[in-house]
Amino acid sequence: MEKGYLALILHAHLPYVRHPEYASFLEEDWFFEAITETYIPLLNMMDRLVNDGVDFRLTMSVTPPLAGMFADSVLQNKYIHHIEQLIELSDKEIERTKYLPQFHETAKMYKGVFMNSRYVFAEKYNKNLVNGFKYFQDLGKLEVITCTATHGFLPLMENNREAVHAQVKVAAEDYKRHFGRGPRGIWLAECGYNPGDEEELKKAGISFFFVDTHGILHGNPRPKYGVFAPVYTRSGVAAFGRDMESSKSVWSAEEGYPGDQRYRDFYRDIGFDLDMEYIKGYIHPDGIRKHTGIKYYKITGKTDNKQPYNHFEADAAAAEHASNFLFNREKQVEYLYDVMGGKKPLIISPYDAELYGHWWFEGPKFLENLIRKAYYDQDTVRLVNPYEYLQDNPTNQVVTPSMSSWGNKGYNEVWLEGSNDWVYPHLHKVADRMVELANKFTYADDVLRRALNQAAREVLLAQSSDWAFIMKTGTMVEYANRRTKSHVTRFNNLYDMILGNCIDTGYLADLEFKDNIFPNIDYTVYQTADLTR
Amino acid sequence: MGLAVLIASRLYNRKGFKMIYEEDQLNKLTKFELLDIATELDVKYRTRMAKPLLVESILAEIAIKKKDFDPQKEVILDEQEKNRQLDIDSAKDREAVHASKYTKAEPKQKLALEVDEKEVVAETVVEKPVEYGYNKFDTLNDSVHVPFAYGDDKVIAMVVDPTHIHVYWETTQGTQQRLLKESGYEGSGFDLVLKLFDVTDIDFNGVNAWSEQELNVGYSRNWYFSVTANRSYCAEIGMKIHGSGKYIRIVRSNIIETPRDSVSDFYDEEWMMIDFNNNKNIYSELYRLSGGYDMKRYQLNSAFITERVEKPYEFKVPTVSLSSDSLSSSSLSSQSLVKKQKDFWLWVDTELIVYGQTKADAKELTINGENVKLDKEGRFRLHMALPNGEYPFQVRAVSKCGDMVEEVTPKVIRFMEQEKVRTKG
Repeated sequence: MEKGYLALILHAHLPYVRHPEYASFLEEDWFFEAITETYIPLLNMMDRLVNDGVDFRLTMSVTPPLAGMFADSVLQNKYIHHIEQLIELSDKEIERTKYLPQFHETAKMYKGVFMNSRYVFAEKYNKNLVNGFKYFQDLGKLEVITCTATHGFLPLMENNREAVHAQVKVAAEDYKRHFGRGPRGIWLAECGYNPGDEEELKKAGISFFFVDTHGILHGNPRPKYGVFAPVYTRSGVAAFGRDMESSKSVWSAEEGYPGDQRYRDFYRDIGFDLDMEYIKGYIHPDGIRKHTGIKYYKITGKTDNKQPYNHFEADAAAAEHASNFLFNREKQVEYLYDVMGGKKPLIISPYDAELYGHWWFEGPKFLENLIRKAYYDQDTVRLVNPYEYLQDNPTNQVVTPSMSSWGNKGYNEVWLEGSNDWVYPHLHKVADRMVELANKFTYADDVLRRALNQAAREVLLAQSSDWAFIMKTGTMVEYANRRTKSHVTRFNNLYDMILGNCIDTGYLADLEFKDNIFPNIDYTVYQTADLTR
Repeated sequence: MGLAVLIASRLYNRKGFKMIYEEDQLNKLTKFELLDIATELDVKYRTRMAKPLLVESILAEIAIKKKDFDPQKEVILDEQEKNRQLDIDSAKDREAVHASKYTKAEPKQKLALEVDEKEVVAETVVEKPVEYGYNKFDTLNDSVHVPFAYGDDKVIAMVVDPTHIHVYWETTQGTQQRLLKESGYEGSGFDLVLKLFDVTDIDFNGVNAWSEQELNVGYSRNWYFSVTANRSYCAEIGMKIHGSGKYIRIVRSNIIETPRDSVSDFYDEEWMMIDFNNNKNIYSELYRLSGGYDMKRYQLNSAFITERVEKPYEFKVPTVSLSSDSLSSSSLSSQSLVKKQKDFWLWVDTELIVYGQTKADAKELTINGENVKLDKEGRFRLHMALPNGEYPFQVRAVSKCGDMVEEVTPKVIRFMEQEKVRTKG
């Protein structure tokens, strides 16, 4: 009999980046890289586990923008082109490294990865990876949760309750489109929570959400078990808090597993290393060098003299680290079980899904080893999904969590500081205007309805927390600035057209074509009456 | 009696409270003093108790009522809070990983030759958006103008963290002039001032704030304030008339609450049960747990607790042998996004290109026996990396009908001192 539970939570998210007007667009690579390196490896992992009869539980958010991109035919076809290019490049690499045994094996490995990606993407899941995630959810192994509609960061939206309401409700509706039922849980973008947000979750039929450690620890009244048991908010929606210790062993730069010298180095990529003439067909057509995904070196250590990567050695490291992680969880659970007087502790370990595979290339192998070992090798810790935990443990303390996020320093500073504070007057204004429009037009049809719906899409897209994050962390800043400004501008144009009763249908159609997220959106979600209903 | 008052006033103050809790101290008190405390705590049957039992009952009652001495709670919460403090830096690591999702992640060194890049940019046709009418609204071009202001009178406050808030505002000349006129100061000069009020737990009416900060804002449009955790704030923009110093309010902000930055002092426990299986999200039972744990059952070896707290990561000891440098602090530094670069460095490598041309309709062209594809002009190109050594490349072309064969075998020798070279992949 187990003495405690472990819930692995993966947060899979990318902002809605889709530019049908360009044949090749640098920022779309974020999505393509994550498909090849993270999403497909995770699906393959679940497939192997199911085939081998390993019972497991995994919780994963698939955010509405990500689900939308999976289901979008423009991006699907662009990905197929992308992976075919990589297959061609890996063929050349096999040829090029023929005399370099230390790289040749790795080149062949990449070809295998790319060929498999093409097959899994195009044939197995019929170009839409949502099919894969839904399959494992329907088997009862994976719990797919949603996220705020466009990864909107709620604590900085508080002055407009309708905006918070729309971020939650639109997400829940969109989830039904993809997964055939409502979401049970939600990953609030960046774990950004402000007391009161749970009311919107409850209205959307959501049973649980996650906060960072101090969201629970600083909750009121004092949480009896800290983060090792969930709490109920007043509205009955459960809040789960992040365990730091298990997080740290994966995330930490100091102690984390991904820093092991045997693992693959993220930065050395042939897109930057190789001669331009050779590589130019596989980088941006403008000659801008970029990551191709083919990387031949291991982390090696604190040196620029990187050594060749050996995937057999790296796989062994992933297995070792999985044993270590599980051992530590067993000790942690045994200790807590005693301290908590026989109550089974629940350890919540959330990670960015893209950490596994994209950043930490061997991450999916680590996860698979961990799940297998947890199943075969011990009885102390049981993998669990949050909802299942609540079914088994329906009585929990009532605590109002504290405002918090999992960003640097734990609050809102990452998304509200000198580089990005300029966005909020605009974001708040477009949200206020959207509420004004929705209240004014209680009913609309035809072109007016289309314009109102599109206006709602532009508001949501502008609210993606990704833009403020990118402005702060300083990479691809120009793109983030432009995205924010263009959605604000597009909204304001629509607003003027709607109120001026002069909707330019050509312009509207163009925006519908470009910013096509949430095909079934209903602008009335912004009505004050919808909030208070 | 004084002691009882002390208890009452320090019920929620852990240090003061623990001092009183000490059994020895209680034993030193007279029975009457103990009875006072027992009355304060509403200990049942207190008048019938002998002194030792009274002390025990007081202790039990304190533990039940306030659970301040519930060792299990103290250990769990204190430990987690301490770990959290230690863990705060790891959010930066998460940020770095998170950022890697969005970046094209430039390598830390610029490896390509400058000349090489420029040539390519010059000769590559720049990708143009597909033409379909509304190009002027293309993402990269329609974003230039967002309004500088929206013509509103408003102030919005947002929380940055427990001790900082951000306020931005906008006011219009029209409103300013109207308000001046209404209060009889038409034409007077004024300064725009921003006031920040502490409105914790009050129904703010403009004059009853706990404290007030005032700032002459000049032309700025937003401001960051240092504040106190777990308080409520409200900001207001107004005009201060030159000369008279009269203040005229323009508009007030939303009220925000800064989060607490420590564990709550409020112990009241309430529990809720939700029946997820049958009646989803309906409370089937809501009750208060009166608390009261059998203290002895949870008595912990305090030395153990101390050790746990001091070494919060004690159970990190790996079972499997991890080589010590595999988890050393230095090992991840090569992955960290910010990295100091060496002032100077050099690396050199060679790659070989075998290229040439034959008749476009040639039947086949092989290099060392392997087929190489020809382009439509009959050109071929093979690019490879070589370690040190001597390599012959037998290039052999066969004509369309197979009747003519041409063969050339260039030989290439590569030699570089190994310790100086970093072989490129």
